[in-house]
Amino acid sequence: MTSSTDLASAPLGTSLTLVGIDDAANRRRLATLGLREGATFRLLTRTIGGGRIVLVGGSRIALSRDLVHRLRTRVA
Amino acid sequence: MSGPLHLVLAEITAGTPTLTEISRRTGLTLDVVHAAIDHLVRAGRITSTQLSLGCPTGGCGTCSSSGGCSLPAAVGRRRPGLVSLSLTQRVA
Amino acid sequence: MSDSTRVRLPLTPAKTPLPSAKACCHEIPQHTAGVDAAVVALVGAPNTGKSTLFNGLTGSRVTMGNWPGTTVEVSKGVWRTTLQSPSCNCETCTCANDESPLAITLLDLPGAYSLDAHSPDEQLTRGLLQDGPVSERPDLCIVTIDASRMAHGLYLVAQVRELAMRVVVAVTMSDIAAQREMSVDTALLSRALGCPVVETDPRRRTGLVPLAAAVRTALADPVPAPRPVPPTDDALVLDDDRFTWLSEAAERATVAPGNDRLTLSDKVDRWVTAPIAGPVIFLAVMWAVFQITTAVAAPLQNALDGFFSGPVSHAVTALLTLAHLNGTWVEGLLVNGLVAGVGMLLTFVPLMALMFLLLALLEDSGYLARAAVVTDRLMRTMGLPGRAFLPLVVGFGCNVPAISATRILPDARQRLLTVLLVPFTSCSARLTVFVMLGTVFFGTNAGTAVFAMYVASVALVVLVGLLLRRTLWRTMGAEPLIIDLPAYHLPTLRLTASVVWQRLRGFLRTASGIIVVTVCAVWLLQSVPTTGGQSFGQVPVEDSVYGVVARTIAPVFAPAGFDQWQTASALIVGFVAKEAVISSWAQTYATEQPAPGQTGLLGDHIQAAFVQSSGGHPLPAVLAFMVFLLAYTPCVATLAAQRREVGLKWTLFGVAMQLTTAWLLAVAVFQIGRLFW
Repeated sequence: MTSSTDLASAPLGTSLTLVGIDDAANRRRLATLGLREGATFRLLTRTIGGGRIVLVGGSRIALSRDLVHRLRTRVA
Repeated sequence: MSGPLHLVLAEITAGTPTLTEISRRTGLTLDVVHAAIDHLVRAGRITSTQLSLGCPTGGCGTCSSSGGCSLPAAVGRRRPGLVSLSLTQRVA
Repeated sequence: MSDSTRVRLPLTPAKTPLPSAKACCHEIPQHTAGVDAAVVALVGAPNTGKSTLFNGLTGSRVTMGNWPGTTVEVSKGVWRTTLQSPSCNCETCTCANDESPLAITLLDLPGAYSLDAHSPDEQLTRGLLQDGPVSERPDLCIVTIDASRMAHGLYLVAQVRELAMRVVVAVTMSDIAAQREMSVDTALLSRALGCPVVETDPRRRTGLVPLAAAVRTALADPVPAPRPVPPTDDALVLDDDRFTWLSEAAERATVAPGNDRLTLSDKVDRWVTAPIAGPVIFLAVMWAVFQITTAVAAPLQNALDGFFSGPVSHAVTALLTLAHLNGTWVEGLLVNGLVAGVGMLLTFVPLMALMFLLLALLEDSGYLARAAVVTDRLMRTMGLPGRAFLPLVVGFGCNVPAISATRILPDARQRLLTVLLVPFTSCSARLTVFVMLGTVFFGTNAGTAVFAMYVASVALVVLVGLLLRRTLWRTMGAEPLIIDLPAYHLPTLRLTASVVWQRLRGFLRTASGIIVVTVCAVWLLQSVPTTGGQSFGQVPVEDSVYGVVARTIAPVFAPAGFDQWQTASALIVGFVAKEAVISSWAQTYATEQPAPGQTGLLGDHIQAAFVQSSGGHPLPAVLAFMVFLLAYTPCVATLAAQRREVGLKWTLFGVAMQLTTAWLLAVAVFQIGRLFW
């Protein structure tokens, strides 16, 4: 099993599993958009300012840079 | 260790009612969930019991589990219908 | 049946002599896997088209299916192919013409989901592939998998890949998968599985040639490294490792109908949110919006302007003459007040409609959400969350709802900061003035001038935000941006039209009320004389209360190059509402006789005024005026909204800050600008 990394260093395009959210304040908002622990998703694009666009459950969600560092993922 | 089989087993233990729901909650594709359950049944870790045989006379559209059983009938030889999955007791 | 014999193998219990793929075929065991006389086993789950493929390759007839029970049937055939590339065109080919025939012994093993020996069929397959000595195993294994339910077949692939065995995966049933709008990316699957993958349709006999090529290539190559397995005896852990592997492979290679397919939206997003291209595209889009708006609306505006200052005014005057009211204060109020003011408002209807249309198109198409991503970093530098972009965008339409929209921000200080910044967003009422001045002073470059005001507006928001953050709110944190990006789509006509109509109606309702009230107030002030000997309504504007107040304030704007009292009075009216700035001008100038050589059109009056007040530098002066207009208090309605949200004290702080900023910037623009123009 590969160890978890934060989203910032995760590869684009491959399937990832969300293993941890180090942001209690935004946990619920992320969950309503399908980003819960254990969910699989894909990184689509890096955006301006170091953010990412992720593809989860058919929706595309833009996350800013600070959040990207608070999501721990593992290559699924 | 939380690969697909463990995830699916955990969902069955938790009583997740439909395959679609297991797929949604585990993030695995429906195809993988199906394959995992088939494998677990073959490996004797869970038992699957068909609760109702055959489709209602109105056809698949009126089937109460048509939402949960979204794979067409061509998948396997299993007919759409209610299936009970239960964990097999294992002696360690 | 010439090439095919059927051998009946007894079911092999665990301890009986192990089956040998090569012995069963009555072939001389070959320890080296030459391409010649190779033994290839065909395995796969039941109903994956395995037997059809066997028939297709051997050209023989065997009974399809498998027979669970005490005996297991295995079909054997000879697969005749050639060493030479089948794609080789012999007429032009220079390669050796000895098309050496290659006869591969093909075994059709019973259908099996796994090598776990859960059934007799699986036991046999396992015996042939795994338990026997390496020399007795087939040289290569073709595993058939059903494209429409790939995960079911891949478990067997995982197990076969754990053996020191050449593996070629044949993907079948692609037509059924295609009916469900699914397809398999064989290149991706091949990379994920670590073995060649070929798509075949044995029923239509397609893909057999590429399969032969893949098998030949694989046979010529050494046996690939087996898939690593975790060092454990726990069967469930082992199985789970295989499922993890196959789940990833299946997910990666399945192009499903689901929404997880990469769409055109994703390709577009890659550009519009990119570090450099993103802001460039954003600016280009906004520039296009203003350019289109001004270029298309300008002729319509001129026509409407001429219509109101010409035929309509004349008609009203004629009617008043019939009623013997010409020359009275009634004519002043109606012709110079209401007709001029309302007419001016109506000339902006095409402009506003076009602007609302373009913004609605951007919003409906899904681009505005991307714009939020692009501007997020900018917001962040001010300590504002990405969400604060939304009230600010709303502010470009109208500041009043934008102030209310700050309620989406959870933090009180972020709310206060945003409330103070919203007035710097250039609302559509200011746009009307910008467009008018742009057309009068910059001609065909009007769109660029207006766009520049919007850039200045954004810069003002950012700079003032930075300044406030550095001074008042040093400790404020920022919320991360989480925004759902809708897929791009073509805006629907009905939705867009209704949005445009709603906003236009809102604008007209607010603006008409404000304009009628302001026009009447201005008319009243202009009619009250300040010197003796003049009667109500018969006073030159300069001598009215209005003129005197404006004249008193005007010198303040001398350093900015627009100290004409008419200009100053327009700014006073503009404090009430920007919609009224132009109507106030119209009202003021309408009472004056056109100077010799002037057409009497509003634009000429204003141009003359700026030339005069700026000492021959009208362009820097008009830019300074536009900047002042941009930065000072938008309207009383905004003040009311601000007071409701953050209280009187902060509202007054905001007004003072806006006036200071506006005056300083206007002076700077004029003083620097007149060095160049």
